[in-house]
Amino acid sequence: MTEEAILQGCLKNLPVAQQELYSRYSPKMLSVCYRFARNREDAEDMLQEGFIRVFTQIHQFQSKGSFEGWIRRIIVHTCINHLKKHKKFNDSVDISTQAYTLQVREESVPSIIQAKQVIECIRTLPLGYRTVLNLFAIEGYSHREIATVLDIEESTSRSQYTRAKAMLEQILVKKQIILQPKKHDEWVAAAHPRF
Amino acid sequence: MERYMYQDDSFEKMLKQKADEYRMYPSNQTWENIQNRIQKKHNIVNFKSAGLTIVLLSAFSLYISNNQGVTNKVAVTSIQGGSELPFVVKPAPPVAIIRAKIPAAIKSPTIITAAKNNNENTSAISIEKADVPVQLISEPEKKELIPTVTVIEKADEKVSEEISITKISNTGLLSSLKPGLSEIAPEQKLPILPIENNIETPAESPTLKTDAELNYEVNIPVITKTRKVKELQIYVTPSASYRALTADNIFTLGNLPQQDPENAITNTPSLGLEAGFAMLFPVAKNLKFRTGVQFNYTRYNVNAFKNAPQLTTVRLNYSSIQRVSTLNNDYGIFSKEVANETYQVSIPVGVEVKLLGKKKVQWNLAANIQPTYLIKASGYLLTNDYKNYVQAPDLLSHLNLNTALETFISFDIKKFKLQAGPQIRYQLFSNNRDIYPIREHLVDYGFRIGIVKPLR
Repeated sequence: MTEEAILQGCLKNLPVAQQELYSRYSPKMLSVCYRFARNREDAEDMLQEGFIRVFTQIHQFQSKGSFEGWIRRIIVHTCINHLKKHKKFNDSVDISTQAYTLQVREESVPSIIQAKQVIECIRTLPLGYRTVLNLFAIEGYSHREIATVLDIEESTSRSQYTRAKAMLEQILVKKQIILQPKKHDEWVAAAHPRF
Repeated sequence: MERYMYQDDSFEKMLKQKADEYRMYPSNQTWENIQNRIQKKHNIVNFKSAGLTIVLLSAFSLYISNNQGVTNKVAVTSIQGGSELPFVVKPAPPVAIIRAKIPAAIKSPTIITAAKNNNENTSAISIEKADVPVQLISEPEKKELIPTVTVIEKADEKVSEEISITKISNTGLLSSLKPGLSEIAPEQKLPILPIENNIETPAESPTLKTDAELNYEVNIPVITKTRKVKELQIYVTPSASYRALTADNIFTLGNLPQQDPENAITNTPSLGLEAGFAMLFPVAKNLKFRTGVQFNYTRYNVNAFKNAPQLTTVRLNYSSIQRVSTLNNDYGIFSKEVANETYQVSIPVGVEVKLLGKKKVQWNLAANIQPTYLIKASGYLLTNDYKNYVQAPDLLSHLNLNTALETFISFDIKKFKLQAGPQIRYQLFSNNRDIYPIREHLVDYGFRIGIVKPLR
């Protein structure tokens, strides 16, 4: 079934089309939710709320842009709302600045980095950092958008992202997923031989 | 050794790539929950639609029946053989196509049959399950499927005529293929909706595209919940202080018993000041509750004349006291201006309403009442005969109630809001104690300047 047929079917509330849409996008969207959520259970709750919103507001979609992008945007907003609703977002925003002195790995490593390892590393970040990092680095939100969505200052978003990135770098290096770049703005990424 | 050298945003790209590669598969329960919730929502809508349809059809029927000059009246007998009711029908009614949304779970259609028996001059409506096959159609074909079916009454026949009523569901169209409906044209056969077998293999969605790159319409509701942020307001209100005097003439003894005290004396306004802080609590979108502490300094000038000390009588309601006065109201050698000052503390309690504007600039209206305590006052009082002033702070009331009304413009400057606007403050009860017959109410016209900081 083409995307257009799915869209038309969902507009008519056809269960077949709705199921098809769900089957097609739920794996990717669940991984989106999982990056925001504390655990899988929360992620599935977010996914559920997000897809209900998708189905009930599908008539608002204008075919000018990507259907997947529209769904993803709704899912991301739902995740943020879920965190806010359950007061999980504000718990871990304030984290003291640390000095990150990363060591350079010199040994050779395979090129393929397992996605799961990276996702799990992202999930080890404090929730505030993780949310900003998810929104900026992965979802492509600007700091201005993040500030609006999270109801924080734009400068706060920037500083949170910088710290989140530094912390994630350290975690990835420690887990031997990436190598510390030789120059300040240069990244050397490689997978650990054991992966 | 294999290395990937990332430049600039390469770290973000790597994260994006890995995140997009990752897939998780939700449990079946999640889809079931979603389905149930959607179905529930649709059912509510369906009930509403069905109810509305019934009402509209009833109204339409009544309208038609009222406008029919000549009608065939037939008695309708229920299937159970109930009581006969008069029923008005059209002489040659077309078959009504009734649209009704039914759950997708219903596999076989329900056929509502209206039977009219000319022989017995009775009609009956029966509901039965159809054994005929059901075909699902999609929306575009639905238009073709709604035929204008007419029933040709055959008056000579002694058999009953069966009228099948087609039901259309939301998910497809359930059509009765009763043999009696030969009027349906062959080309109106119901096409079959391609279901599971025709599902195409989903194309893999492109990865490594940010939302900005996807360039979709951000036409989704903003589902961020506005946080109710408390605010701290610090303000100062320079004001011009006036007073309003009234007197109960019964007790104003002396030469001018009926004279308005306003005309007997000369007072001029002076500069006063209010300063305080308040907490703002959002109650609704455009409404805030405001309370705090405020210090007030009021002052107006009494224009009098310096005179030799003399004993004067201050008449109270049912008694009098005597005080020495050096200030004469209406004559003297040297004019003297004395200040009637008060120092007060009050607790304003009120509301603030946003009238116009958005985040940057707003126009607001605020009102409050202020339980007030008089800390200190100079307390120059006019004697009852309006001739002298005596200093008698003991005749002042320490507890009072003020009210204030203000309108202001609010400017959002990043971390703060600036507020500025006019204000009027009126003292509801007399400045003097009840036993003193001349009542004095203070009125302050001020311009309030405030700064508001949201407390996150």
